[in-house]
Amino acid sequence: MAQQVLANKTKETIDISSEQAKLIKKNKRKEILRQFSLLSILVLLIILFSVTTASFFSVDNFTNILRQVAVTTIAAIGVFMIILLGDIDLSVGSLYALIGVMAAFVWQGTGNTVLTLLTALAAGAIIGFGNGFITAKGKIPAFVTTLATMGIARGIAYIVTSGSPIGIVEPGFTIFGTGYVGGIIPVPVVIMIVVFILGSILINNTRFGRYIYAVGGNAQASHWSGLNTNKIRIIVFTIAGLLYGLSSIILAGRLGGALPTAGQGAEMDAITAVILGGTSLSGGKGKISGVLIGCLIIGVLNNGLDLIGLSSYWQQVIKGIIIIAAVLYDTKSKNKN
Amino acid sequence: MSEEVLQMQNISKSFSSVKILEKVNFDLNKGEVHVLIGENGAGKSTLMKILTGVYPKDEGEILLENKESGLLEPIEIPNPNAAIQLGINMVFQETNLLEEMTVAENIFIGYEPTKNGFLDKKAMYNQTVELLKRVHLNISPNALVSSLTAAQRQSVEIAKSLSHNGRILILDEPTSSLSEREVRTLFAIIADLKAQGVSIVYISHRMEELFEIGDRITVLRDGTFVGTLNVRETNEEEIVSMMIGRKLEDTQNNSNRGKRINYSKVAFECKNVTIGDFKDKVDLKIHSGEIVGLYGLVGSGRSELAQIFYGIDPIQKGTVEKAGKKISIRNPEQAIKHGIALLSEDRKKYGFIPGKSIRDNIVLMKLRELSYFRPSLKEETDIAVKYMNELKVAASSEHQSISSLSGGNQQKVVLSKILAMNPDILILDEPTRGVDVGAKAEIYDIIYELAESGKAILMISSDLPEILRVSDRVVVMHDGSIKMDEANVDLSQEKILQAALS
Repeated sequence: MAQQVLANKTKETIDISSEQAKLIKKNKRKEILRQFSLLSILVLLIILFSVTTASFFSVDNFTNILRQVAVTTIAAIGVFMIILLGDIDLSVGSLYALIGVMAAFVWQGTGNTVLTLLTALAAGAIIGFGNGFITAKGKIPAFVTTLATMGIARGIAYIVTSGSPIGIVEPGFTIFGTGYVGGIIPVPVVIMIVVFILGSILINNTRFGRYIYAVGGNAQASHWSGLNTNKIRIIVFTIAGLLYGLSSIILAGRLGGALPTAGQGAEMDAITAVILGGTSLSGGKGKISGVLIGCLIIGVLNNGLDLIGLSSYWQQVIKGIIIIAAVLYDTKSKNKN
Repeated sequence: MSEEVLQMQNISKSFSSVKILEKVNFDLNKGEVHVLIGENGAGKSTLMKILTGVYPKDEGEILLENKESGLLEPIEIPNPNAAIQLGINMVFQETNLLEEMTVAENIFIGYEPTKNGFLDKKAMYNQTVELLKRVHLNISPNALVSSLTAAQRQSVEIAKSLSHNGRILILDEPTSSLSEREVRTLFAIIADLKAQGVSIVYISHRMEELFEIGDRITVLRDGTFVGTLNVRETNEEEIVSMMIGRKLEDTQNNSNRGKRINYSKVAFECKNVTIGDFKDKVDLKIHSGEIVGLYGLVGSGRSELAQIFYGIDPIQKGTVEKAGKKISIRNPEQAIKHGIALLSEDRKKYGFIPGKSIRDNIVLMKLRELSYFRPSLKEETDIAVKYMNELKVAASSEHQSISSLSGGNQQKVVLSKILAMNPDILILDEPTRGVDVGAKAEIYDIIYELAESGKAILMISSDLPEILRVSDRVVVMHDGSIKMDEANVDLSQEKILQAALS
């Protein structure tokens, strides 16, 4: 299409030095390389663990990894949209706990599976709306809002359960955590794929997706261009909350109930994946495919290090080092531009 | 007793190959008030920023009186701290005080008196009392800055500069946010400081003040030194003509655009609108097909007026009408719906989304009219390419990032974004700021064409030749009220500037 446009133009409009053209080409190459380098890290890790452990390279283990990353990936897509706005969400893990507990109570009270599922989704969306509303209308940094809701949600989850788990023993519900489609693909993986596809369409192929990038790139200019930045912010937080609700269902399904301790540190896993995926914390820049790859890298790393027999303490150290390395690489390549 | 304390000789400064100052001279006597005057962009601020160590100079020499020998010696001022050590202080329009700290803490920040390694709060308190006396300020040293008025804050800033044994004090538009009574107090402080041997550089646009407190006046124009005069030996006309200079090509442009056509249809009108804290009411009419040039110096309220029309700032008093019908504009979204568009004076901040492509920026506002899902991609490209061609945007393709374009081309992209909405009323705030000469002429042609097609245009500009060249009617603002509203027939730069300074 670019050539066609060029042909349309009169000569005087093409007032661009070959040097500048080269630079643009170079930047494009770099962007492709970046996406590629992320993928190559993933492939490298897979090869590494396949060579060093006997049990890593198998269909069963891969299915296992995918199931393990599903919860994080679904939530991370929500967190991704929030970070794309230039905001952040620290309440993810606590919301897992609170949403799960609320759903479990509805299950205990009614025994209705559909109602239980709807409760989880609605609770997520409403709390997400609250986060967005307070952040946008109150002009409070999202860091502060969600730091507060993180504490509130976790606290309520403990208060109403007195700290003990509540079981949901209903195959119609636990199927979301442990079931298989066609006997091979885990249900959480199917949900993850559907969410990823819908998320990709929303981010890349709709007007709203473009608005998210615009607000994250320059909120003031977006406002001056007539975008309702508050509304956009609130909708993004609501969608993210809905996705946390979905993650909560899978988590509760897998555990066979709700725990007030569920999801400790889940927000950090999601944020880590988003950053690893190349999304800029200052907003306006990032790709949803990067989020998926980021989640897979963490999943492979967790699984592989487990198989090698490395303690979970060491795993945390290694994950931390990888985050710093990834962000260093990111800022370095930005500075070169 | 004209004892010189400072000489700045042949000071030059460029920013990325644009000359801001060229061989400017400025000197200062002990205990005098030396007024620095010039239009917006004449180089006053840059010259003072060099003196206070904010910018390094490219060329020239700064000589400062040695406190011991009393002789002038060449010095270097590598950073703001060095300026303070030398006794050179600047009080900005927006004060730099820390809101949640006390007056005493603010005055001594970075230079706190200590005793045995601990803060000597008593000494700090007592010294502050002394300093506040010198600036006629009757407040407690323990008062929080956040509780002070704008005038009091300014006095605290002056006291702060005195605490560093300041001998040169630069006041940048010090009266712009003061009431008449507060101005009197400030002038009394200045008189006191003069008597104590402090030299003052006074930057202001208010003519009457200059004659009241100035001893000498230096005029800058387009980054060059025009001359230094004794205030007692000059008059307003002479200063204004020095500020403008005689430029033949511009006076030729003093066109008769004002005679162009008779306008019948009022496209936009505001009645009894007040701006910010100003009390005067503003009435303004713009006809279809008319270009109204709005001139005013910094702080006159012109950009604020534009922002009220566009719904950025809420309207406090008065009404806005479009084609005779009263309309309410509470945010830019509504303004756009009413066919009002604004090109901001600060492109980077409010104009575009950095890092995004030309196309994405052009269609940003238009997206709401296109289909929700991506098949509009072709439509978007068509719109972007259409405006890129019409406005002659120099770029390799519509996919190029806007951040990589020159200022003029960025401005054309932002203008394209607005034109794509097909507004009836266009407010262009400094449309050629940071734009090179070639692109400037192109932007003027675009503005003419838009007027030709029946759009009502309000062009805000600080550039007098531009106002005279482009406008059909010229409106001049000062202190939030309209001082002049005339057809652009036989108008001169002098006349406009005098209205803006009155």
